[in-house]
Amino acid sequence: MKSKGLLVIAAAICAAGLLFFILINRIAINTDVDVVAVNEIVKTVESHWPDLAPEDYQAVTLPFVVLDNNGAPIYETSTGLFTTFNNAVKHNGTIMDITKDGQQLGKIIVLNDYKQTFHDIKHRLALSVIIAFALLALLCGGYAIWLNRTVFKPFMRLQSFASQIATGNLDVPLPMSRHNPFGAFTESFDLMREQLAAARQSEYEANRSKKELVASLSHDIKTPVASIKAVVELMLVSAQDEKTTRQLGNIYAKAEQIHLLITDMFHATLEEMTQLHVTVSEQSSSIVQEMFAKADYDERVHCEPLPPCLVLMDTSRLQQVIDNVISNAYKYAKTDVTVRSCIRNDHLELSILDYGNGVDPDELPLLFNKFYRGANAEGLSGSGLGLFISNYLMQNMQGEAECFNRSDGFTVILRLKLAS
Amino acid sequence: MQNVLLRTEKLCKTFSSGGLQQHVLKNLDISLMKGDFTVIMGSSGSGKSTLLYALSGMDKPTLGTIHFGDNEISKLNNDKLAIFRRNNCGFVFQQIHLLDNMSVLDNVLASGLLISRNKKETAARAKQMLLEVGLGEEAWRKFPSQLSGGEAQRAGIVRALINKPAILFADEPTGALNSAASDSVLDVLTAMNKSGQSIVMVTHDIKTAMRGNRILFLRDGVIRGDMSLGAYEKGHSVERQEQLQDFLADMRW
Repeated sequence: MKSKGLLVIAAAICAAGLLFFILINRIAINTDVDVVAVNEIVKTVESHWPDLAPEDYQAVTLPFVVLDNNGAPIYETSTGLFTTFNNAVKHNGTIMDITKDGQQLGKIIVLNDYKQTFHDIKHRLALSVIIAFALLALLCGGYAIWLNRTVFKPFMRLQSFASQIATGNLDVPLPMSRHNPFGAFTESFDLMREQLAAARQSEYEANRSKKELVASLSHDIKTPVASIKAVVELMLVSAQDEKTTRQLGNIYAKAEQIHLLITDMFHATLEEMTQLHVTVSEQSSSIVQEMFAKADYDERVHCEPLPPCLVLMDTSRLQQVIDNVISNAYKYAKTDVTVRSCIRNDHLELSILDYGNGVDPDELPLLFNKFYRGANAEGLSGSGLGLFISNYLMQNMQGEAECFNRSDGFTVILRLKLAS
Repeated sequence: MQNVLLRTEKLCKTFSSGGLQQHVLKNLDISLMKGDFTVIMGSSGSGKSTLLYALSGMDKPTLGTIHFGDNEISKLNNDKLAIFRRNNCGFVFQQIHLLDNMSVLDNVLASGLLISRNKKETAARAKQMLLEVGLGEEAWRKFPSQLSGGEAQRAGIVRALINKPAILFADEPTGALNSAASDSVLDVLTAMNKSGQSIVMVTHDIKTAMRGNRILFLRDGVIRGDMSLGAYEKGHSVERQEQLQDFLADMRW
């Protein structure tokens, strides 16, 4: 795990800091004067007086100045060392007299250089502090990036996923790597979505098969009733006496009644499947762009800017339509999708273009039919209701839906009425 | 083909308060022509004044664009919009808003010197324009409180026109005046229009509206009717009034 690596780096930085601390503590600063060295210098000067040549003092490391009795410098270890007597005293210089045969000849000032040592140590200290801070900042930055990648970004994705689920769109998968901390958690989340989608699908199918049963049953009943009617009609023509005619007329009337009742029932079950309420309001076209962004679970939709205007729509229903069209494009064409729009007459026209194989021209007029599924739908989930419902919703928003093949793909056009 | 002065495309204005949205103007495509006296009519709350404020750059549209010549004024920022208004628009309101402690002439000059550096020339023009609207020399030195309503509004019109704006916006200019004063103000506006001044006026008074040569009828934020009348001539007012009343009846005024 990366977190372990980061902990090791943090520990290493701590250890390095501790080491620095110990090292710095161990540096002893000796501000005392080296008495032996000073005496040595004095002795040498006294013995060579008055000829002071640099080669005699090569072994001496301390800087010093020799003055005569008038305070003028006679010899310096390096030029410019001596400024004034007062300055030397201020900087804790050691001052010794030079005497020969009981007579004072001059003075020696040995300058103190502990300031230089201080300066060096300060420099080293500052450098190590800066390095320590830089390392810490680097560590923090690395940690922030790591945290963002493994925790926050997946979490944001999770959020958009949850909002998709909340709006009832169960077709959008949640792509997550097993390796991040949320891996197992998100995977079960995605399983939950699949379960939910499957449950909804099976519920829908159960409902539908029930209704289809009623529909097919009523259709089946119609056939024998039709035969009864035909036979009775025939008998009516050939009937001899009035009583038989009346009775046969009665049978015919009742058979007709059954026929009408069954037809009603058949239509009622079909109508029931399409009870969708649409509440139209005036909305800015800018929210349509957001709708495409919401429907775009594969991030392959290129939505060109929409002309600003006010259109009539039911926001949740239009979202449903857009979800359907985009997921169809992803499902059947498996290509990128381009959305273009323009204002034509009284409508805002949204063209949704994919670059797949399109639809068989023979199937084109059937696409908006109920339960119709194209020949390419083999093996793909769906009920054949999406475009039918979309078309129904668009018409109830005073709009239109239309589709056609292009040479390089398939186009769906959604028209929304401009508010007026 | 007349020149288009101001053109809107899908102009919308939405006011929202507390999550509740009110669409006051909806997808308006309007072209105002140079030299026209355009009157915007409509009942209260139909969006007349909102439209006037949006057209004149006093307010920004929520959606859509407004072009003034080649400039798109709907995308200017507030500072640039103020400069645009100062250079191109004149305004006359129901409330006249002359400055109380300045004389009539000074009121006009205060506006004129915002743009012009030439004081002498501006003063000469101001005096001439004041004469044109019937304000003589003795009126120039009067203070607004000493003027009648009609005189004050005529002074207001001179102030609005002193910078030779491309377009004069008038929001119910006669709303607070009696009929004689109204007529004097409207005569001034008609005369200005005759000499080429483009005017856009909002009103809900038929007599006032008759002065225009193009009537736009606004209801629920949409232009429901657009009628052209001939240029206004004194004396033809009966036919004109009938024509206008028929139009308004069609609009279910």
